[in-house]
Amino acid sequence: MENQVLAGVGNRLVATIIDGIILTIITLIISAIFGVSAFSALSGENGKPSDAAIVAIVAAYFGFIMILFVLRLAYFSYFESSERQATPGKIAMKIKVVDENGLRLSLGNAIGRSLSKIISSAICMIGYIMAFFTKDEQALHDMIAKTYVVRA
Amino acid sequence: MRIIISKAIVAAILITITAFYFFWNPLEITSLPLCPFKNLTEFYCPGCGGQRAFHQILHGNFTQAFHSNFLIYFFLPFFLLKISDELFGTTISKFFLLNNKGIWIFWGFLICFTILRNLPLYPFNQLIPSK
Repeated sequence: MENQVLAGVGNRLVATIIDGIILTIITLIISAIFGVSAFSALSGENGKPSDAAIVAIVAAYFGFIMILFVLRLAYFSYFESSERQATPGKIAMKIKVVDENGLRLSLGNAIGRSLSKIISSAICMIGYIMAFFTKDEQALHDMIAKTYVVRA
Repeated sequence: MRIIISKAIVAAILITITAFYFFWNPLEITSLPLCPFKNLTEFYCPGCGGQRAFHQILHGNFTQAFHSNFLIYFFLPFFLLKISDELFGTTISKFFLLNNKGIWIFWGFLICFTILRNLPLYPFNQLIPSK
């Protein structure tokens, strides 16, 4: 890791915004599918929804929330442990994620890093803001997963 | 050339974010991200009021910014130094970065600040963001 140049917080911010836009588009598509299905189920035969339809929609809603959570987790974990070691946003900014030895992340480590982002964002993003004043530009989730973001 | 383009993109995004917070008051926009900690616990987290403080600083209301979240006076200099280093190739920020011990002290301070700002007593209740 010593021989690599840190990514720079500005580059990381832009990469995060690009990934955010991609995830928002995917979320909108899934939401539209869910919305149309829920609307047609609620319409029912006589214009009144049956009790079973309401229960099914509430259950589907929890499934929908879970899908969004898993999508986000899978997106970051898969791309950061892939050969490019970066999400599409990071690839665009020519940066990548490495472990403490400067090597590619294992899938387990990448999942741990993605899950740790929940803690980083839970307190008004202070976990992310930490990257501005820690020695190796590490955000809280980088410290937990012992990872670094460097120039590709 | 590639580096210049990425620096230009970073600068453009930062200017856009700054302009956004200058023209829009976080108190009047409901679509801004809400604090999960505050939503779940009803207590203010150490970062609550940060967006309001940034808006107030951009308008020169330094006292109101202090009331919203005085940590902005800690974060903003780091942010400016780090970004100017990145955009202009200087290395000034490395003299001010926190080591591991500094990070522990920082978290200890954040925890104390969180407890104090949630106490319903004067003067600690002055540390909660204005509504």
